Amino acid sequence: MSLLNAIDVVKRFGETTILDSVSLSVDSGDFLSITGASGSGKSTLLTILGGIDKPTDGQVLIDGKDITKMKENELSILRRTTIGFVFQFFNLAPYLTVRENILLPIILSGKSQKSYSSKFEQLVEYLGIQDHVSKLPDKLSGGEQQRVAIARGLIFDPKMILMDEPTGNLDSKTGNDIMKLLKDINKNLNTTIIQVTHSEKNAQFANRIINISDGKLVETTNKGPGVDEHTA
Amino acid sequence: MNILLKHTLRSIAKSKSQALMIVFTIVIITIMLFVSFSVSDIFYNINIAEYSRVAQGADMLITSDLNGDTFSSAHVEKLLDPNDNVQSEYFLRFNSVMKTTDDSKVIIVEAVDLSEYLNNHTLEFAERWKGDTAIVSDTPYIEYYPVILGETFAKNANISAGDLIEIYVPTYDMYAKLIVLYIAKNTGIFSIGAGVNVLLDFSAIGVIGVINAVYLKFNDPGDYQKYETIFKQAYPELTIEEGNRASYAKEITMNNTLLFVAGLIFIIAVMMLIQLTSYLVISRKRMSEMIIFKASGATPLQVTFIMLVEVLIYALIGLSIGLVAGRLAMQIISSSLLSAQINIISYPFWKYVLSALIAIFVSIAACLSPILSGARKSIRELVAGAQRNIKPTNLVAFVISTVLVIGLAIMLKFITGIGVVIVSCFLIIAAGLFIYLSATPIIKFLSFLFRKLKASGGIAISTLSSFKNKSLRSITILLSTVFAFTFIVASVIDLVKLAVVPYNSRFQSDYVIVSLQKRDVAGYDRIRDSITSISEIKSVGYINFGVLMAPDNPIENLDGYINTYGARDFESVEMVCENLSSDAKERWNSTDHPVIVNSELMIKNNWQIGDTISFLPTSTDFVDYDFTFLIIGIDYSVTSYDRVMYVKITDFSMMFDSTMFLVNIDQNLSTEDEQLLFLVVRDAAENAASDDNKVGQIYALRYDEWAYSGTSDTSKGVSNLLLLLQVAIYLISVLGIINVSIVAIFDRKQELLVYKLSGMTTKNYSMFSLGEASIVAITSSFIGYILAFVINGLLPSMSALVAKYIDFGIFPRSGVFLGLLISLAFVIIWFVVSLLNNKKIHLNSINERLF
Repeated sequence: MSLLNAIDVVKRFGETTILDSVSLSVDSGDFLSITGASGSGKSTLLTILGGIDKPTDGQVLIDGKDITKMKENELSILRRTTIGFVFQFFNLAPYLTVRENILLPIILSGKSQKSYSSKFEQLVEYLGIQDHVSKLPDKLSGGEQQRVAIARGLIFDPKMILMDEPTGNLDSKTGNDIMKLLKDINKNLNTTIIQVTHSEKNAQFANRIINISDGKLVETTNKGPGVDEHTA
Repeated sequence: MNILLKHTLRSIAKSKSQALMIVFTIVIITIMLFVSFSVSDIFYNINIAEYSRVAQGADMLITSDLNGDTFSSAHVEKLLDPNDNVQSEYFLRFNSVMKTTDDSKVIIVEAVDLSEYLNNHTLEFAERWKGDTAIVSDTPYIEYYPVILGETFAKNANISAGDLIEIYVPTYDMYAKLIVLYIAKNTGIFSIGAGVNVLLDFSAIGVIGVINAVYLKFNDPGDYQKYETIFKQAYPELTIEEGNRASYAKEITMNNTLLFVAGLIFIIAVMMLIQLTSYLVISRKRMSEMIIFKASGATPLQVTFIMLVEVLIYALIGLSIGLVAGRLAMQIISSSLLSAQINIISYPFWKYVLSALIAIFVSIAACLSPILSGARKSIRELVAGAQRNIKPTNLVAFVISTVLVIGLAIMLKFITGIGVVIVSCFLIIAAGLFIYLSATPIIKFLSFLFRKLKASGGIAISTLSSFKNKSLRSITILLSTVFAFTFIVASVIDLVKLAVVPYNSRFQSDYVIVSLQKRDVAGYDRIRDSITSISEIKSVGYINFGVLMAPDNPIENLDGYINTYGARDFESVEMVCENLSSDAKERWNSTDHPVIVNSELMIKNNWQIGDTISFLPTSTDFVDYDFTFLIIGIDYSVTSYDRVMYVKITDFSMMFDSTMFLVNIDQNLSTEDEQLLFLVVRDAAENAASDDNKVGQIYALRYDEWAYSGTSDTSKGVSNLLLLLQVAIYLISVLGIINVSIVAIFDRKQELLVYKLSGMTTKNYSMFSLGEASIVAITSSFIGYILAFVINGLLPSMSALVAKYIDFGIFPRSGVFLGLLISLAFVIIWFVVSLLNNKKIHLNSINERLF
């Protein structure tokens, strides 16, 4: 069974149709890039897939459960445990330290932080931010902030991470490092990743690329260079 | 239209709610300024109203101040030079009671030459008796002489023209039966609405030529000095002053106005804080505009100017509405307080101009800091956004400020004179520093405690972020300041209100029976016992009244006069004293010549329990007596006049003016039974006191009538006005808290988005908001209470301004109440605003630049 299934998803804003009967299936371990021109609806699709926004019509199933029917509290728990989010502007809580930001979903779930301490140590070391755990976000560079955001997305071992322009606010070198890291996570941790990007180059890190145009999806199967070519 | 102006107007339209809040605060500030410029007029006219009502434009008043002394009108007439053509008006004024079939009422009898008075003064009549004649007997003071009553008094006492009333005439120890000839409208001598004065002819009370007040009107103003000298020589014991006692009124007015203005400054300061918080939101929204202006080459000065134009627009709108509203407010205040003298208050142009100028200044001052800060920042700094994390607190500075605040507050208790002013200034600076430095460590400490209680969920998040969040620290500081300001304004108003707390309200009983005749203790006991024998009576105590003087006070120094009461027993003392210590009874009974002194006298004279004080008599007739007493207790009653003390009746039986029986009744009686009981008690007292068909110089009153009926409606008006002001201050404080909460929470929308994105449920969010609110509220209350403690130390100096000496205690009890109230209000407001904000947070806006 697919991890995520979007069935005939429609999204309208007034008279304008942004998504027109979009259907999509994502398997566990996929790395999917959604590309498209500005205003094509790619970010809208991502927010619908993550339960942030509701479609006008259609269904979104995660592990067979229709998230469009879920109440806000159920969605909150879903976001906390099943989906990790990473966005262009890092979006860290400014008054929490790096450590507190990463452990935020754990604290909110009421679980013991101690039981996640080894996971936390592994993650910060893996992401190379172990020296910054006591700092506040404004003391970090853009790349470091994005790594913290990724760590927060991974702390609960989510089944998938949704990302909207994860490198959009970073220089190309740092952006490339982040993409390699994500590919690594996808490969080593088997975490499903869905990213929205307008960067052709970043899209190539995925094993599936979907282009969105006039509210409809056009899938391009990608067997392309992937991480190996980019690391070269 | 200028393009920048156009742009500014469009910007204002985008920040409607905060712009409205700023305009609203400016309106309130302008109203308060405008009112404050006239408040002195109000206080002056309120104080002068009672005197002006009788004076009716007279230049000089010669009076014995209702102290019982009388003098001859013929003698006064002799002293007036016919060539000076001085107009004179003679009065015999005294306090008395009016008896009806079911009640007794306090009145002020004003006896004049009635026909001459009505010829010289135009009184408007609401009602007139249409009977044949008023005077039906040649025998005065027996019955049916005419009397004129004021409209409101007559209405309250349910009296109509043509009714017969009985007025007690102490000179003859009889009730004179009089017919109500006119009910006069509330103008002229009846201009004080709730006045209890009755106007009658000298002959109605059988007194011809004996007066206790004369009003003179001079043709030549220069005659004032001449006659002042003449009358001072002729009557050294009388008071000679302006007809409307203007100097006395001015003195009271100045003190009250000073206090009022002090309170006003604090109110304006709170309003400025509200304005500042509102403008902070606007200025943040303007950040992108500033970047564009700067990128287009605008200098910091130009950016400042652009932003100032916006503030000026708010100020102009606000002050325009404020001036109109202020003028209307004055109309309402003056017509309700000074109905007869409404035109006395003038509104010259300068009041409008000055109010407007100060309102503009205050508006700009309130918004200047964010404007200058924004204008000075480079484009890079603006793009990077505001740095809102807190730097670590300098612990040394924090400890120093704490020690300074406590030390200076304690020091204030022990110093006097100019030292108080100097220490107060240092204290204010230290307190400001303390607020600034203490907020973060206290929040951090509380967060630590909360975290120990709850290590996960929404509360845990609040404990992790609160002490790093600059906005929360700002709110804590604002809330502490609002707390402190509210405390000081409420305290100052309480002080001003004291001026209208009736003196008689210090005594606590259901009925008061006043005996004017001097008797021996057995005679008083007989009256007491006859009342006690009535089954519904619970207790009866009695006290003699007289006057002594504090030691070392020359006889002409009124300030040294002390109202002295000789109490029959300690039970009588307990009925008139507040908060007596538990051992006072034992000391009273075991001491030979004990005295219980009111707290005001204790503070003023720096007396202590255990001191032995020798008082002086007010008359040389008693110089051979020893008035030496041992202070054994303190009475904490607070009224408009508190120079009062209580001694044993046996130590004071040689000199007193009157005796008061304080009667407590069964509280379970029905209204009808109580009315009947009053009449029974009244009869019992009169019967026990009567002798040879005389009344026995005794009259009975219900407590409320005795304690409060002499209070004029202007006094009540002042009290109500001040109460309104107090309520307004609480409302303004709540408004400030709401505004600050809205500003802070809505400003953190993006931060809250991150929490939601990380899986924060509605329950998590509620607990997070409650956690933050509790941390801020507890911290603010703590700091606010410390500030209240400091301010409390300043209050004695403030109360001394109105010649009151009050023991405020070291720890302000009202501060605890206020702290709880403000904390609760804040937690509720913060929580409600947070929940409202929660509904506005849409996660689909998450991929915007957040910080």
